[in-house]
Amino acid sequence: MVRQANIEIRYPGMATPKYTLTQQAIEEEWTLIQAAQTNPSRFGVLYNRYYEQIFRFIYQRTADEDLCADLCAQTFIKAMQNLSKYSYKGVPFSAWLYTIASNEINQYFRKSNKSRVVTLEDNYVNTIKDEMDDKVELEINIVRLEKVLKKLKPDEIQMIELRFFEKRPFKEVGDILAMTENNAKVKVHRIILKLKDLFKDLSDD
Amino acid sequence: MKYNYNIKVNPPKLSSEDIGKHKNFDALLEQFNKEGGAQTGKSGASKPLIKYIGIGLLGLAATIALIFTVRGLFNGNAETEGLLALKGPFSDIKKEFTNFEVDADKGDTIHHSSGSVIVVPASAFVDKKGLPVAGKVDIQYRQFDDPVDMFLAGVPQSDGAQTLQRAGLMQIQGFKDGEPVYIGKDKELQMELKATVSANMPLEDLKSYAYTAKEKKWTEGSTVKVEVISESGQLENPMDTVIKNDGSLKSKAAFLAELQKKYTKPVKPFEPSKGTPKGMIALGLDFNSKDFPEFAQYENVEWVAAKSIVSPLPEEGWSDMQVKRLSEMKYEIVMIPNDASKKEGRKEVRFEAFPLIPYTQKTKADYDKSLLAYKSAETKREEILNNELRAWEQGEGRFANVITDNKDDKAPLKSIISRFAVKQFGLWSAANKFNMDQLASVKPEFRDANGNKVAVAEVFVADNNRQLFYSSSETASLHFDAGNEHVQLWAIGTDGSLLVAAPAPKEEGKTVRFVMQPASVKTETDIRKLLTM
Repeated sequence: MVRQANIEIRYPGMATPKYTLTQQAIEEEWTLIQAAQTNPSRFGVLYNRYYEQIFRFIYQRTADEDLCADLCAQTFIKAMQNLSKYSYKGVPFSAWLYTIASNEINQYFRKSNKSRVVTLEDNYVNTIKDEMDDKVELEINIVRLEKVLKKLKPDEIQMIELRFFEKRPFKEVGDILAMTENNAKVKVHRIILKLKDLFKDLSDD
Repeated sequence: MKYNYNIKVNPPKLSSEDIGKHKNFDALLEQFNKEGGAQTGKSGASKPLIKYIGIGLLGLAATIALIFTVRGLFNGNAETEGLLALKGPFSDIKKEFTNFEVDADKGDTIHHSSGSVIVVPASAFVDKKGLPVAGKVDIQYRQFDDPVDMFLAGVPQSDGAQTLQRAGLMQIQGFKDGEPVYIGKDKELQMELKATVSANMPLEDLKSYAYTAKEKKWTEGSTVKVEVISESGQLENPMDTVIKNDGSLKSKAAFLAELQKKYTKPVKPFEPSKGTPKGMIALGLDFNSKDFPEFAQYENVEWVAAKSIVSPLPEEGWSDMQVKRLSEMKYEIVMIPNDASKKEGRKEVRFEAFPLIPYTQKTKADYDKSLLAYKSAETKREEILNNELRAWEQGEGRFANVITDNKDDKAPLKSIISRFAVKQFGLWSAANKFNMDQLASVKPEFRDANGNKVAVAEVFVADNNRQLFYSSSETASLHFDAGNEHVQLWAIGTDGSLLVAAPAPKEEGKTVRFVMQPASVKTETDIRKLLTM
């Protein structure tokens, strides 16, 4: 399935966060980053711009508002502390923030000995169905999806979350996971094949 | 292999408001500074942030408890009550407060040098516990009379949702022995705010607005009673007292304005448009084309205006409609209610409207032809202007750096007094809400004199005709009235420097190109010379 490069995702009843930027916008954003590198109080522009996106990203992976607020604050503090090391690579600044947020989330679950949270919504079932080959008749529902997801590796879950649950373009998935857009497409394709097999296995049981 | 994920189905959805509650950049910045600022070397071990946040939350809980305890004893809350610290772009240039000592028991009347008056009733103040404050109280007051004042003080202009068209702005706070005091519940100071505003400023529905720092919001208060005390047309500008000009010599801006008047700008043809632009609605206007010669060559002209303004207007009950040209592409429409509607309380409505030529093969061909002619005429005009300006700079213009504008170049003004009640300390303004949809949204490009891209962190726009001053750190798009000669733009560069846009930015479709000139400024006077039109 091919998606347009600039895609916007609308959460029901909520503001529309923009997940991708044009090259010109990325360049303009770089001027803001440079300003914040010399004067931390100017980081406020970037903070205001990305706070909600990062918060939602973390909430999707924790489902706990208070914990999410803490991890979000840590993400932005880490970003400010390390901003001087940030250099222009032609990708949105948000990709760097998502990477820091992912590290914070993983660190939290590792240190607290808790299991990694995966959030599912009813509408994800249809999203996954859409990705399956039309010719294959598979019974997919939320209970079966839950069972199947438990058989995926953490990095595969991360890919599913970014691409299907959060509906990010391949380019952005690649930016966040530090891989090329093509590599992201290949990996996602393999996961779809794996999912199909897992759903089949469930039907055969 | 089976992984032990904690799968949560349909967790509660969070709205933007839910998330916004956790957002606090000031706290983050404070924490960042406490933790030693930026890491310069290799990333070290992570600091005990959760512990810190835990302590911070305890502190916050204590503060909230305190606020709840004292809330109800005075108006507003501690954050809005005089503790608002504004941060301007230049740390060494500040708008100072004037200090007044008042007798809290008896009350007092404060007369500020601007002509503004504040009436303080007896027993008006309480301390943070809500207990009455007796004896001498220090009142600090400052007034922001123009966009330069607001810019230098770092006055928050809008909260993202609304922009204010101001007819006066001031900040007031009170202290007893160095500790903040508050205005007691059911008490209010009577404010008479004197200001100079554009003659075009509508004054019928002015409201008072108080700024709430916590919510970063201007909150509408009561209706303002306005008294117009002078409509002489030209009033003293603070700069006139700095450098006297007898009018025989002109500043560069005045000379340029004279040149532009002499060599009239060619009229840009209207580009035919397919359909009604987003957010606009077509108006059924019937007008005599003789009154509008600029449309003579077009057979059909339609008019559009912001839907949010026009849609709520009733169709009936109007006696007259006036159309006034504001700039090349923009007109002001004034709807005048008939007597019956007036009796029901309906008031005159003003809004901006834009002509639209419907797209056909003929109108497109005509447009292409006219555009070529326009561009050629514009190039010729620029050449003449540049030549004359060069000649002037080598002659009289050598003295231009010590001359301010001739008073005759300024927009007509009026002097007013706005009367309203002040129920809490902080920032207050007498203002109208302004619908920014009225201004075109343009794509700004910032270049230096050589055409190289200039990085800007924040853009400031002053529209002296409309009493508007707004800023934006989002530089991808900007509300900007390019055809309005009373609009001035400047910016803070990413290096913290001041950049001032040269007059008459170039428009190319939706893109407006600003030539940004770096300004070396050390004092408020330097800044005023550059930013006062």
